[in-house]
Amino acid sequence: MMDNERKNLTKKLNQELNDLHFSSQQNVFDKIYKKTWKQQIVSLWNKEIELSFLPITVVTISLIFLFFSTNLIISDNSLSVKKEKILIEVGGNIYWKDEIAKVESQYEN
Amino acid sequence: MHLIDQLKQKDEQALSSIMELYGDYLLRTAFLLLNDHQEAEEAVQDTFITAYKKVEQLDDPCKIKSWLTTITINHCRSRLRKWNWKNLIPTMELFDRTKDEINETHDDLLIANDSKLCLSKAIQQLDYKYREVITLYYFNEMKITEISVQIHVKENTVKSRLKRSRLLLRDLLRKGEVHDG
Repeated sequence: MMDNERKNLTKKLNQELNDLHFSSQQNVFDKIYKKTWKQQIVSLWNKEIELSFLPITVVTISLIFLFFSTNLIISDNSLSVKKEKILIEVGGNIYWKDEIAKVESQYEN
Repeated sequence: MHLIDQLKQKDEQALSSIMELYGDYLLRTAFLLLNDHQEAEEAVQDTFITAYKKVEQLDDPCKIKSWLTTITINHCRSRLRKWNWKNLIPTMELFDRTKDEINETHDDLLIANDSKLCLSKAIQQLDYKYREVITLYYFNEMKITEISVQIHVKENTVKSRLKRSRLLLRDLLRKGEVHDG
């Protein structure tokens, strides 16, 4: 009677817990082979990464283009500023016209 | 080469095979003892880590299952000691019973077979010392002597705990006081 009861209860428990499955095998491996911080840094340093050629080329060319075009715009702007300034001769000396105009206006005041 | 010998040589494949063989069984044991799936998973993870590190201590490869079960029980106990917040949830006062009740037969538990109530949930509601013996006896199918060795108590204590837990289970199943979680 007792054996019968035991068998039945064991069977019932097995049926109820049948859906439970151990699913953390990878965690066990990760914990067993846990790396020290030095090993982690070394592995990060030695990590191989794969980059596809086409997007990298496009990005690089775009950056180079952007860099040069920005430089050109800046240099063009400085030139245009210089172009706007006119040199004049006063008493045998050469001055910027706008600078002379400023000095004249100061004296007039 | 035997699986345990391979494990002693720190063979990953051997560990994987052992997890495959005993993982579910240990998880179910831990789940009955801890009443929490996540905690049970972690206890079994710790079991395999301990087994991997201390496999040299296993003299008889035939005893691997009971050795792993012992490690799982120890990890469950240690987790319960650390794991206090669950204790804040009020537990059922099930243990104020008279001696006469204890002398009742265990056959009443047979109602569990016909009952639609969840036996594992009922076991999980017992106090840990009762839950432990009833799990080891019914789920792990251990003998009284084996349980006595496993949990380091006298055989008579195991017997009396078994009696007590059967009565408590019977009551829970009859009253339908089985709650999830």
